[in-house]
Amino acid sequence: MLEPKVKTSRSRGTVRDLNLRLILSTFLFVYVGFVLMVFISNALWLGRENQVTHTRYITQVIQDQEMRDGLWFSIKLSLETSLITSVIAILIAIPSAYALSRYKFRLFSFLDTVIDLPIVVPPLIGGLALLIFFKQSTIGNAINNVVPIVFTKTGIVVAQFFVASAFSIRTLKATFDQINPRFEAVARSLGCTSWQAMWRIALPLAKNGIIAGLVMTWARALGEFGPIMMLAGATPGKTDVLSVAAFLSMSSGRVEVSIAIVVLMVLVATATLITFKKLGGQGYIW
Amino acid sequence: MIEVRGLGITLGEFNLKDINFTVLEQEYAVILGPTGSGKTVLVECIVGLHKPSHGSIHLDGIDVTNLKPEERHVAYVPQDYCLFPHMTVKQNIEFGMRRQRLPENEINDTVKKLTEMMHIQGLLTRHPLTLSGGEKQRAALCRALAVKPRLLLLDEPLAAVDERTRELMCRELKTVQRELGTTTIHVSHSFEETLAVADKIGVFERGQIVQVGTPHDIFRRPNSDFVAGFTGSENVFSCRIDQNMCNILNVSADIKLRVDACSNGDARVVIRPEDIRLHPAGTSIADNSFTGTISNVINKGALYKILIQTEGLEWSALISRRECLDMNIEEGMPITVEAPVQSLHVIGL
Repeated sequence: MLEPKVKTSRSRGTVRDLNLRLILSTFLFVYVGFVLMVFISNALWLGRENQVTHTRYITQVIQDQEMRDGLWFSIKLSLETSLITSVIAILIAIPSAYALSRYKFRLFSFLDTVIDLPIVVPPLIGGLALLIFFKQSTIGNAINNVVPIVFTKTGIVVAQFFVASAFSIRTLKATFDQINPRFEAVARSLGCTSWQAMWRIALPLAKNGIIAGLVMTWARALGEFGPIMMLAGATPGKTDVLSVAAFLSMSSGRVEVSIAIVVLMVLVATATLITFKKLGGQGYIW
Repeated sequence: MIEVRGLGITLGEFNLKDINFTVLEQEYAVILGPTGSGKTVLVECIVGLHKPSHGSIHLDGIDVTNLKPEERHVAYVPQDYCLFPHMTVKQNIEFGMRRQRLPENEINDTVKKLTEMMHIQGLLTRHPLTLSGGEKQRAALCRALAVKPRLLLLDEPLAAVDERTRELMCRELKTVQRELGTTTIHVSHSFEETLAVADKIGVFERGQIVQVGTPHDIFRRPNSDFVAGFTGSENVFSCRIDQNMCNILNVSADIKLRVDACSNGDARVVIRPEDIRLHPAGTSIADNSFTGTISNVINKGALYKILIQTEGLEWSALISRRECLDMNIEEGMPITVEAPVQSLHVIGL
């Protein structure tokens, strides 16, 4: 009776497989559950009633003139600076990423490391380095004297740019790497110059990747905190972008404003990720 | 006309050495060689994507070795066709002509003529991602021909299409090439495909061209074991030639073949499997007949490959299914092999 034996051993194997699947997935779901719980609890908190004033916290934030105006200023400032940063970052990233993807450089790994540096260096340290550069170094100081950067709105853009452009280059390089250089080779054999081959073939093919990169860069710029604190400072009504405002209102006891910002930022991040994935964005390290 | 003189380049693991060949005006040349022998690198050198470290490439008498790809007028169809996915088939075909700023009516006429010739006039508004392998291939060919190139390079153009399409495409390639008179270099690893299209063949082995000749030369008169083996001559035997008699070496008994050879010495004798005649055992009294046993019968569809052992020598013969049935061929039965003198070819004298 060979057959039943074979059957038992197969089903035992299946059971073992199921056990492994169960154990491994448990780790996965515990983590995902934890993340979801954290963000959802924040949203729920906003809906709670304040025991003293008997109004919901969310209504309080909207009704209080000062809170509302402060929050609105931060939103506008954040949008303005992050959009400017994203556009500059992507304009620098397109040629840089194309060059990195298509040409051989003798110092390739050096260049590659330098690009990742602003992402890997602790944000506060990056900001500190920026501050010292624009305050203490000859070149930086000269720039700061012509275009005031330290503790200004321009400083916010510079601080965001420092990290965000590294993201742009990373995502765009991954995009260009995915485009077979043979497309450009064929275009050239058909009479295109290398410039036209990039303009008419590589860039149109990279369109989705570029938009995905732009979205991700923008999200990164929007969420920047450490370098902005250091370089642009945390002056309410002047340089308090959303993340800085969340920190300031937390320290001054206006918890409801902070939590409103948390919920807002989580929603923006979710929308960003969905867009990024829809567009097939690739190559992220964060 | 294209002349490649002493071309050499090292690129990664590919190393091309001293490549020399000439393709005449309107000629259809095939570079035949195994996968991974560096054929694509050679094609890319001619397109202008790599700069060779030695030698030169001349196109219609002009040295193009240092010209950019866009200055060479060499059109190129890569193995994966590389149709631009963000354009329609029509835009793909027009692409090169638009770069040349040709007048609109000329562009339309060329597109119409080529697409009708390649039977893809119904696909003009489609996007490449929706095309089948054969359709992509035709579209890519139209795109390359539309710029009226001095030279057309086809890199393994039929590797990715199915067997039936391949046969059809071979005929069409040849017809279109004849009609337009475009000088063509086609790279292939299949000798069947090569036979169907080539005016001239260059056999490529590990970065070198080892033999150039007409299909007849290459298939009937290979100059090395490699060429013989690669083009399907499975019967290559080491031998010693003495006064037009060829003694096969490394076999248990004395096997002598009558050959037409002009000198004596150690060599190899080659006979194509389809040139071998089979007779019922002991019935042939012709020259070069040997009786042995069938060791293997391999069904190859229309043909049967028969392996026969005679005194430790293994012969491979290709016969039709009809012949196979008529002779009641089966494994283990005795049979007589005849290697006709005029089909024997001697290498290495």
